[in-house]
Amino acid sequence: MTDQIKKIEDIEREIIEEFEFFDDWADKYSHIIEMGEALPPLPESDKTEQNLVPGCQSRVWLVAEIQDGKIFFHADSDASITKGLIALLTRVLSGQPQNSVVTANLDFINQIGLGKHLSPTRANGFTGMIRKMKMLAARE
Amino acid sequence: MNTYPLGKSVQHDFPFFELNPGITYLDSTATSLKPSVVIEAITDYYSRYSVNIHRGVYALSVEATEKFEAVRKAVLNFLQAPNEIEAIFTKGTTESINLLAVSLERVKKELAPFFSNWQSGLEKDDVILISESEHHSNLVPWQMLAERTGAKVVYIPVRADGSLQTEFISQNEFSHHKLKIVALSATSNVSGVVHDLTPFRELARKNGAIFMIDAAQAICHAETSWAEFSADFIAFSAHKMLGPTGLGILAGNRDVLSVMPPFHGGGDMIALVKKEGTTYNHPPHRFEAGTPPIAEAIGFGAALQYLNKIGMKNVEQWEHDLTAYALAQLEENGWHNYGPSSDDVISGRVRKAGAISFGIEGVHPHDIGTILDETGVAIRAGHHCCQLLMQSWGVPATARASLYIYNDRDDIDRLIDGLRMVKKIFKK
Repeated sequence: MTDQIKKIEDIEREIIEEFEFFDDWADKYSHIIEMGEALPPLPESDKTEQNLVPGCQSRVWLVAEIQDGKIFFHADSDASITKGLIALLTRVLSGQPQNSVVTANLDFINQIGLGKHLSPTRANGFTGMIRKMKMLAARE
Repeated sequence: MNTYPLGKSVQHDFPFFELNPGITYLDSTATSLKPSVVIEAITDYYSRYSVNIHRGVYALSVEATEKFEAVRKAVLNFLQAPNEIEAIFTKGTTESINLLAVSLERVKKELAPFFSNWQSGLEKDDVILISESEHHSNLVPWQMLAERTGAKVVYIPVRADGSLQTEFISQNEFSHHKLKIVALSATSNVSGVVHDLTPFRELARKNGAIFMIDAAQAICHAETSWAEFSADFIAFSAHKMLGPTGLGILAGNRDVLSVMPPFHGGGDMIALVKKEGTTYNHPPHRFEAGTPPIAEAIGFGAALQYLNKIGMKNVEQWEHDLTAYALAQLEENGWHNYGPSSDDVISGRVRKAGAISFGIEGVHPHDIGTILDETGVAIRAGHHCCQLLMQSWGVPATARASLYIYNDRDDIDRLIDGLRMVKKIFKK
């Protein structure tokens, strides 16, 4: 874990640029779904009630491990778009210093052109995912 | 039959469409949209005579009382209910059923003259019979009642197409334990199936049990009548049938209701209050403690007038044709339809209201809903408050499109276009 890690803002910029490549909302969704498919599988033993993200209508499991002040996320969902969204967040936040995760403002969400869909009250529970990630990062 | 044009022809009666251009609303099973006449009736009450009802000694209160009570009559007329039937205003189907469950818990032997299995109140191992297909509002109140009394809830299993397994009766005698309550929905909010309740009604009658119908999805979609339901109680909500939220009905025989203990205590439900105790008012007021939903009732009156003008036979016919069209489209595309097939519906083998649960192999229902939302099509994805039915079908959720009088074939076409988009995005 001595590698220089990319800053959150840099990864966010990378993602924004990546999404600019698609001019069709359907392609953006396809991209999100592919990101979900690329997530490493989560062991069945981690798919517990306790690891569920509250507020999501589909099931999202999120676990974290902390090494040397950095937090690593592992996640899965039974719905593909939700899984893609948690993959997107994992890509930005996994491996970051705990404190950076807690204070991240994650503004990139509003800039990838799916802001309408990702609003806080939506059933996909995007806000719930971010809250749970920050809470896990805020632990000792 | 005088056909009244529905679909686009009535959309101008609903401000929703003008205010939400481009939205295809296919979630009327959750709640229906409201026509201007309903909104105006509510506004008129709140603007012109927003005073409390009953015991007012001034003209405006008398007017409000008359309008409120006239809706009670309109509800009973809508149900084609005979004179001995009373309608209680509640805040919805859920409260209607909770009212019944709580009152029945307090019954000792008052119901014996009406129901031979009610020589005593609910006791340990008495049976409350419901089905796996019940909405949680006709399930959890009975589980809670069972928990409080030691009675047990028995579930009629469902078939793959959502209908009830009638053979369940012949396989179970119900003679070892007292069958006290049979509580079933007339129409499923998930599959739209109109259940054949006859064998279960007969079972209740044979055993001297109470027979209650959750008619929340029945009354709004077809012409129904008290005689057809032939139940001891029926419960339904105003908001599923163009009326306001926060209003429901529990209808039942006045003589039966007059021996039943109250639900909530408070104003309006009393006859005489003394320090030593209180005597209760007659039904329906006994069960309507506190200021009732006056504006909502008045709004519901306007909704019933609107539906009467259209005619419920027309509503049923319109939904039937539209449902058959939608099912045929789903089948043509090879998508899964949880419920009767288009053939079943067209041939009349199965009666079905306009609620269609469907799925696309390999795509989570929430993902279907998300993509449809992007295309402006509003459906619902989830367990639809029917987790037992989902468990019986072995799925976590379904996608559900549901229809009402303002929908037409264009809406179905937009749904199908949206589903093609889902297919494309998910490469299924």
